[in-house]
Amino acid sequence: MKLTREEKIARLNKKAAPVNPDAKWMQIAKWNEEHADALDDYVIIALRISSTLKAKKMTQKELATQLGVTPQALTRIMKGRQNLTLNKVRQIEKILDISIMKIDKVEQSQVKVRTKVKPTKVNYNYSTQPFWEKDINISKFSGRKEKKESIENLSIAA
Amino acid sequence: MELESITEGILYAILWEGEMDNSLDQMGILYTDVEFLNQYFHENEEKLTYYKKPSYTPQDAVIRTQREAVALIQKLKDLASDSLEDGNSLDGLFKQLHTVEGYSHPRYHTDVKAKGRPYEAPWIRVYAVKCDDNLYVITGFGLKLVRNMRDDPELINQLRKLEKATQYLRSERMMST
Repeated sequence: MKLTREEKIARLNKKAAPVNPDAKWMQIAKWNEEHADALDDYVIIALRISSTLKAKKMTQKELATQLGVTPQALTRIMKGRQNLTLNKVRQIEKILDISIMKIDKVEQSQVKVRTKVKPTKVNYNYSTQPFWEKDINISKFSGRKEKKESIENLSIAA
Repeated sequence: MELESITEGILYAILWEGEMDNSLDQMGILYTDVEFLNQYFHENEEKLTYYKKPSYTPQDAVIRTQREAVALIQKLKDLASDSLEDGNSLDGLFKQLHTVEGYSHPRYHTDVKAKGRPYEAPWIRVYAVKCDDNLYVITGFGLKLVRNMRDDPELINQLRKLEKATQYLRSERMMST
């Protein structure tokens, strides 16, 4: 028997429960969107915790207690559905004696280099006028380059 | 068997007797659940040996499945929220089941061809009956790690569900006979 598309839809709509805007799959989709940048991290963290607990023969309940979170919160972490703070990740690392958030050697060395840079002490001579209040010899500014240099000199010497 | 609207006039899902959630909700819940997937792939590690290129550890399989599920759910959400004005259609998402003997039109499975597909040949399948162009009823889901659905008891069960749903939809005159 041949039915039109409209007839089929009418029958489906009559029989089916209406659209649920809070349907579970839709909630999951929205959560995924909100945490798109971290989803892979959550999965890897959950897998890492799971394998470590197994190796250490430690229960989730014990970990939850040491972390100071409810078993439900830890379950969400294990499911990859918990927004994790860096502090919480560090806590997990400490308790399980594992490294989750690795920084590559190159990055580490960059961090060291950055921290080696000592701030330069700048002595401002407040007894002199700031450069914008100084008497400037206008005749000196014959060109763009000179003007730029002069301003630079002023800013350094000030 | 009950029907639930996902997007009226376009997509519906079956809530099977004895189950808490419809097939789409179940797929979303299970295939984004790292704990479930980890347990599943450890308990069914032999299924990963069917999938030879590349070889997967259970943990790799968890990561892949979760990524696929996220992409698939996102695609369905986009289709549900965007109107079909920009050429988006479920007909581009569901592909005809053609590899199973005796099973042809109107039984379909998802094959995420659209953007966001993270893998060349996704192994997550959402099975549906096509009632008309761009009009589908989701009947179930599964992980297709074997060449033929008949090689996996879980997928054989999905074929049964497709068959049962087709009979129901025809008897209720929701699809042509």
